[in-house]
Amino acid sequence: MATMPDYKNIPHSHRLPVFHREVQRTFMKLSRQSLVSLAQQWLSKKNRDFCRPYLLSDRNVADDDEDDELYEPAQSYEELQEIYRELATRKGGRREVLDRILEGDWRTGISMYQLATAEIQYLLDHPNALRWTAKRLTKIPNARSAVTDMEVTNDSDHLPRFQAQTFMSNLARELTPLMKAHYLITRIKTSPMTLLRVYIHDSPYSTEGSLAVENTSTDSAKAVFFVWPNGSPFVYSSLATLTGQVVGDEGRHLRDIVQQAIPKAFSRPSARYQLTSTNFTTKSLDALLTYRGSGKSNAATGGWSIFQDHSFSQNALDFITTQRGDAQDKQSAEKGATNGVTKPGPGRSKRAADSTETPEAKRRKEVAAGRFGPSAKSDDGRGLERFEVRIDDPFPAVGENNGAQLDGETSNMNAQASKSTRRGRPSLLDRTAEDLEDIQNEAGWVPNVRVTFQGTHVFAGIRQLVEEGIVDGEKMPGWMTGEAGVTIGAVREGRIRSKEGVPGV
Amino acid sequence: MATIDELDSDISDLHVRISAIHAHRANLASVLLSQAHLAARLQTPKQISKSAKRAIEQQSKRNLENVYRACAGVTAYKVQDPDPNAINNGNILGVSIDVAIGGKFVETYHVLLNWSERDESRLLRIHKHTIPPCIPLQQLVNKWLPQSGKDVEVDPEQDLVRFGRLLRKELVSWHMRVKAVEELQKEAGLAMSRSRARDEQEENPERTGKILNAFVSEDEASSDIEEPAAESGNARILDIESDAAVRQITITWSDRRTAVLSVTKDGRIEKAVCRAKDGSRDQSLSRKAFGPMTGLLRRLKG
Repeated sequence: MATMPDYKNIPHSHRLPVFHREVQRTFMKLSRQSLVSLAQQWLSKKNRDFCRPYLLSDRNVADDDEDDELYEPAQSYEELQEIYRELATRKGGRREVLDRILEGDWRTGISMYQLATAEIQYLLDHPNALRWTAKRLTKIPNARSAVTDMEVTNDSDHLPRFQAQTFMSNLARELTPLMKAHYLITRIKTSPMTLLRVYIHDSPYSTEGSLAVENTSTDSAKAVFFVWPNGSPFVYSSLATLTGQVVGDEGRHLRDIVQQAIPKAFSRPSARYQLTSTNFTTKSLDALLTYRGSGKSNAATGGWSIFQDHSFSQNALDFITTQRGDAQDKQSAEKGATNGVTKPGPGRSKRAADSTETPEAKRRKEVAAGRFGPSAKSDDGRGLERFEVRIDDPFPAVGENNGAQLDGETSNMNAQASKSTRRGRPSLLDRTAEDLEDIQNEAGWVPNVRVTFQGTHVFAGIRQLVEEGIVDGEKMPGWMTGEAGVTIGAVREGRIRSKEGVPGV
Repeated sequence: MATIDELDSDISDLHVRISAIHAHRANLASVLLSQAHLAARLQTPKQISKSAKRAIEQQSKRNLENVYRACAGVTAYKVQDPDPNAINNGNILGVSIDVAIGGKFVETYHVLLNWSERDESRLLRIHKHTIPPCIPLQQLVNKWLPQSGKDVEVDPEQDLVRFGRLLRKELVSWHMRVKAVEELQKEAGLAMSRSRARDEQEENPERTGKILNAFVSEDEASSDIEEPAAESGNARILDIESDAAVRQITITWSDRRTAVLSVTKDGRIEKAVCRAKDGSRDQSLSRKAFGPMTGLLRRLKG
């Protein structure tokens, strides 16, 4: 068969050999339970066309000499389904199922569809496995329709409409001239989002043979994930990397191509979209759904999260004032007690254990509760791992600043800034020319101070510091509670600078 | 064994009774505390105790607040921002919107505004809010709470009252559309199977969702259960689903007919595309779909 460069996508049914690095990588990570449920899913009627297993009828007369094969090919789909049903009920090792899939039933190859579902399965099993960046789809203002865009009428629509089929064909049309790719778009049942996986095949061919060729320089990630939370203007994107894998420039570049194609695929005539940054990056999908999701929580984070539920406002017909207070007291007391038991942190266990806290400690707890509300609990699974700010406030004046010194310092800082940009990729925190101009107009010396918080759950950590009295809970600026809802930002006058407009929309 | 079961059921019965009695007690307490002139009557023999006074005050405050919230739908209150660097010393104006559907208050939304003084007038700006993104908040703000942009000379006119009114309208109509879709699902007998599906989901949460793909035709993806090709007329509805803002509804029948309906904010179906199982458009069915959301299924059937 002649191979020719073409304009096709890679279909679901194209198979990769089982020893292919991507296959090995993906399948080695999955648990037994996930493997069994995936196999059952592949064998269900609607997926059979692109997950074809090796059955007895496939055995060729030519290579009939493999009598000593480990796994006898099954007679039919039904028999295979029965085998995997049996495996699901039985306890056993992961390896058993893995070998059965790779060396037995799918020895002829793992189809692109199977690889994609396996990788998505891993993502759902480990929602903190990848680093996600949240972007917003915004309409590009159009001079002609500017007035109608702003109107709120009976049938106006302000969110980009997501229609999976249309979107997919548009996206494929944008991308196929540049690269071959395999697409899988799926609605996640367990959480309100739609997930798109694009497997990038950097080759002009879309044949099965070209897929199997291992490119020596492909240590970079080959798949890109995009997630749309339902009913919101946000898109989360991520490179499917493995822990510790360095993302090369090549991988990043391919992701950028796909990312650039996404707003184009959303756009219609007279409604063009672009992706804008929302200064939010995290590993936790749950945190993303909290800070950039479709619910009530986007613009009321940190201490403001009391407004999300009924802890601040009861039902308008709930007149009972007495019981509520009692129950809450009891609950919080219980919670405090269990906290002490479950988290014997260094140097804390003793104090938490004897329930008679000092009034000072109790006050600090109350202050922390006031500042953080119900947010920033270490076990809420919405931890941000990194939070960076740049302080743009002038240095607190100690004595009198003379002008000469000020000039000298700012020029020095200019030099520093330019040096740091040269060193690596420019950071989002580097001051732009505009920022520098703003700062120079400011009276006083503005040093280039950056603060980075890092950990498993940054704001829970700050809350703990407040409770321990290390950070003064009352003088602490608001951005330290996470209420700004960004992971990177610039602080001016004690507040994170935000763009004009309504937060969180 | 039987005795353990009996004891368990006894215990749970008692728990139920205890909570019922607790609720009753709380109810009576709030009725008592709401008595007119209670504070004055308690005061006559000797000095009223502090805690009693506090309880009465709390109750009367709650009563007043609830009456306003229940009757007005949009109420305002004051909040103190704990941030030491907040604008205006952290004075925040809160607006709460109560949404009532079917005789029940289902949800409360908040918009928290701060303001900057500008010669005699105050310029409000949204600080925090709990409005879901499927409500066009930004558009309403642009219209009714505009910020002074580049030219400082022009003082934008803000109208908080109309902003609140329109925002409430958007929220209530959204809730009503959600409710209408739920009604449709119930009418089609989908509510039961849906809850069952959720149970299955809990047992087997790692199952990947329904696979939608450009390379899979819709009918392949939609039906797990293979139905014998039923004549149109006695076909079951397999699924009724809508987007988050309930502006678009998709109905799938077991005979592979589909309908995509576009809904306006006041709950009328304005556009409809119905397709027969071979993918051809069914104009007459589409015409039947136009109209209010209630009774949609009856119209489609008839």
